[in-house]
Amino acid sequence: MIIQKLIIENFRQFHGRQEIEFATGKTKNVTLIHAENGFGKTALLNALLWGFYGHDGLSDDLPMKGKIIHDGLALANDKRQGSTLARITIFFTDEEDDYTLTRSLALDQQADDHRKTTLELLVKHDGQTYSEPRPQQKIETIMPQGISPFLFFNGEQIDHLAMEKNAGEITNAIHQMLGLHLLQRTLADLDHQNVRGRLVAELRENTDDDTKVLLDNAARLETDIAEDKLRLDACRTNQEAVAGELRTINARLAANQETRELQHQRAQLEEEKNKVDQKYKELSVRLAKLIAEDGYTLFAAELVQKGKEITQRLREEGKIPARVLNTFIEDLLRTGKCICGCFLKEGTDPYDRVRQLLTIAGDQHFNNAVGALDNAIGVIEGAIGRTRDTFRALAADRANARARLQYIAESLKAIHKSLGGKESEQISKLEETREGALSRQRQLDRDQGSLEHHIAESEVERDKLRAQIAASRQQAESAARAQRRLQTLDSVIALLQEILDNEMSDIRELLEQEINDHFKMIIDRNYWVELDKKFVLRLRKKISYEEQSQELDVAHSQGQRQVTSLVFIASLVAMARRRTEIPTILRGLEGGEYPMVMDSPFGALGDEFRAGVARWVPSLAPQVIILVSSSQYRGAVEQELGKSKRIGRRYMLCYHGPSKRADAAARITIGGKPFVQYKEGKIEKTEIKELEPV
Amino acid sequence: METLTRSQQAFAKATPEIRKLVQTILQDERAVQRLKRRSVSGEGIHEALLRHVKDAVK
Repeated sequence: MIIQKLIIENFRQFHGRQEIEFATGKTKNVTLIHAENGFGKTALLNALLWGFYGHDGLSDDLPMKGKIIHDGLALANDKRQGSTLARITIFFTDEEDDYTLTRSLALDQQADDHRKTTLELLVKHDGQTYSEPRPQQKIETIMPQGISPFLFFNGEQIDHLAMEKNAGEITNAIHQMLGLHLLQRTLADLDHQNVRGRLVAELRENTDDDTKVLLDNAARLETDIAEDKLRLDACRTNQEAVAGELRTINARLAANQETRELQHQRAQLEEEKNKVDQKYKELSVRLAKLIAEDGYTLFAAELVQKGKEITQRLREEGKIPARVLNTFIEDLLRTGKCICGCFLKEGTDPYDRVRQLLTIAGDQHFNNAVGALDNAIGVIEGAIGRTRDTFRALAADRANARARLQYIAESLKAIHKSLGGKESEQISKLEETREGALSRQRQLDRDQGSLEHHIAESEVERDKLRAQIAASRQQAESAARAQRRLQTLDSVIALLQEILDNEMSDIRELLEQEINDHFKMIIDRNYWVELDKKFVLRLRKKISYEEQSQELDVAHSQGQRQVTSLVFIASLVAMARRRTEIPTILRGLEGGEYPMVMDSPFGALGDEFRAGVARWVPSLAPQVIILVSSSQYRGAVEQELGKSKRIGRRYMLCYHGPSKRADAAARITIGGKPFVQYKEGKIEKTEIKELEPV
Repeated sequence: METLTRSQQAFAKATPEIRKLVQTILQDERAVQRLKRRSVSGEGIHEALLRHVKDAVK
């Protein structure tokens, strides 16, 4: 899908009819929209989301979702006694077809039920234009709502993508964008009550009592699993909601002049806590490894000393090393002649004396062993010292890390106390809500772990029962046939699941490679990304110590998480674009072209990442729409986007209102030309102005 | 010779009956997906899938 044009009418602060034409060129594929914070970037991104998906598509960070038509307009409308209409029209292409989507909501309807909108989709196919009878379903097939968070996003809030709890969303997006939802859907249909359930019922009707018990037990487990999965889905939704709530609270505390400083300190402390926590875990792993491999040396000092004393004594007694080899003595005894010329005859005194030497003689092996013992004692003595020193250093570092964690925990507690004790009721309430959200988050994390564990256990048990049912001997012909049918269906399900797993595993390897190829272009460090089996993104690095090296997870900073998530999305979009080149068992699988619409993608990034993101991300997606504030744009971003020559269209959002945020600039300079982007006025509204692409 | 992907190897290992059934099922699912309806040739997708299994095992 490529978005060509957006017409926006009376949507939030965009009054009247305004439009944006997007860059759609192969090389000039970037539309840049300049806007300060609070000038309408989020509302503009949501205009597209509302157009495609209605109320349910609106992003978490859009406040007052029910007010599609702005209060100011509603007031003016009352005076005019007419009915204002909010309308979004999106012109887009997908494959060979042209689409015109129009979603509207009248003010009267907004007051009644703002979720109920009117949607029309015109399709131009082979020169013929017709109105799509099921417009929302059609949109769902072109760009499913499930993937919209990956395509339309606030860059400052996507860092959470690189976290385990979002693995489900990521897997789903990959299924959708790379066409594998066909297999996923088929598996769900085959396992449905109307398919597998019917075959189970058929077997139950005809089988013996023992198999009935097995079937009933399996059915009970299946119900348990289904219920647990529903609970898990609800748990994940709640986790996402709590995370969103926390982001909003943090943003509000960061925006408030009275709390900004403390909230900033808290954000830094929480960031540091993650890093120190990671370091603490690394040190614990290294200590455990040291103790497991060399720990014995710490207790061997006394033993080594004793060994040294024994060898010393034996050395003094001349017993080690063996000065005379036993083979030499044996030769003398065999030949019957001593080196002094005496004859050695058995039973004689010279013979016995020479034979006596065998008790102190040794062979070459003995002498080698003496050498090895000397060496081992030396090595262990050296190892004792090294192990002791390393142990002390690691233990000290670990103790420091623990102390730092303790300090951070106390500091966070103090900040919480200070914020909670503020006179402003609004602030103390925010802090209280935040604490409650954190507590719920911890509980939800525990619930998730417990549910996942329970589901896994039940599935193992269910599979055992299914195997027993398949192996049971059926007397009646009808029961035997029902059993064969169930077995056949289960074989089909197992094969399709294996195919889906294999396809996903192949894609995971390719995607990981793709992410790393792009990642290296953006992050100039010795890091790499791993996409584990659950599609959780992990940033990894290699650390070396004492001639050994170990690969470890890196505690992401917010900037690193944001870059990792951005690169992941861009790589996925790039892979979907060339789906036909990726081997698959499914014939005729096509991916799709998807736009990337990014609000503030450079937000939490330092300059080193900004340049890389601005340079590479636009080359990966067929269409990129970037909404950016002047502070994010200045410097590295401006330079790299300018060099890329990919900007095909450029707009700015000019805000009218009684006041603006302190960090929002009233003027912006683009390509050396100054532009006014804030005008003082009584009514809040945003104007879209087209600029030269430069 | 082109090497088979893991999915192709898994498919090749299945019995001819299962392979044929998988193909028939996927064909219907694909048709349903393309038509954006939960039915194929007037029959609900679940009924169609059940019929395919029953036809395969008489």
